[in-house]
Amino acid sequence: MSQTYLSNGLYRIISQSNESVEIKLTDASHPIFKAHFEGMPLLPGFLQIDMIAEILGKEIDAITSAKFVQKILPEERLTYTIAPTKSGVRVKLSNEFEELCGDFKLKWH
Amino acid sequence: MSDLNELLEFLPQKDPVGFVKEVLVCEEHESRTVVRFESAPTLSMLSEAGAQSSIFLRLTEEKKAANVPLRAMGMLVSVKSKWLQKSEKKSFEVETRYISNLDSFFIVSFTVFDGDSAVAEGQVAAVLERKGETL
Repeated sequence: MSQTYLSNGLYRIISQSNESVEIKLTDASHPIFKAHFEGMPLLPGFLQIDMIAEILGKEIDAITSAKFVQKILPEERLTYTIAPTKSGVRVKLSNEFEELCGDFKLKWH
Repeated sequence: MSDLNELLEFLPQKDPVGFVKEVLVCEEHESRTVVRFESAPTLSMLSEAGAQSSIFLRLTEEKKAANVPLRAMGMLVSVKSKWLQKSEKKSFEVETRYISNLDSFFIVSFTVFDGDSAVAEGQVAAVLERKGETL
């Protein structure tokens, strides 16, 4: 799936399998980081979810729960780990230090 | 306030992620805004719009009791949301309602409307910056 007007140029995929996706964020000059927030660039939580959906070509029907555990900065290298659950998928997002940044339970198709 | 849209300057998210374009209602425990997107939004984008709209809840007594400035920065902690009916529109109204707080941890519900029809709903939780703190 192609990147949207918000995620265009925001990241590049380093590796991808059925269970995990590794990406590298672009630098703080990207419009998203300039806008969120001025002088304190952070990856917005909603894009943490939308990026993995667009990479895997999924459309989200419900966010059963999304926890944003740690701030994510420009140029970070991130890994999504995807596991099926009884009612959807659980996606964990961690940084290169293997620290959990986000934990998302989703229903998608 | 004579012009509610003067409040938009307090929205820390700027374009292209500042989704709130108009403030219609700004009450103690209820707000209503107009949000716009450049293309039909995802559920995550509508949830972010719900979080941004919650900034326009006044919550005067709750913030005072929690030692939180009236214009405190907030960090989104958690979200849950669902589509009620999919929409390809780019503009919606978002209603937010205060649910509860524990100190500086606030929970707010949101409903996204396309005209009279609710298209998505959910809850957001955020920690607001206390006086003297930096998030």
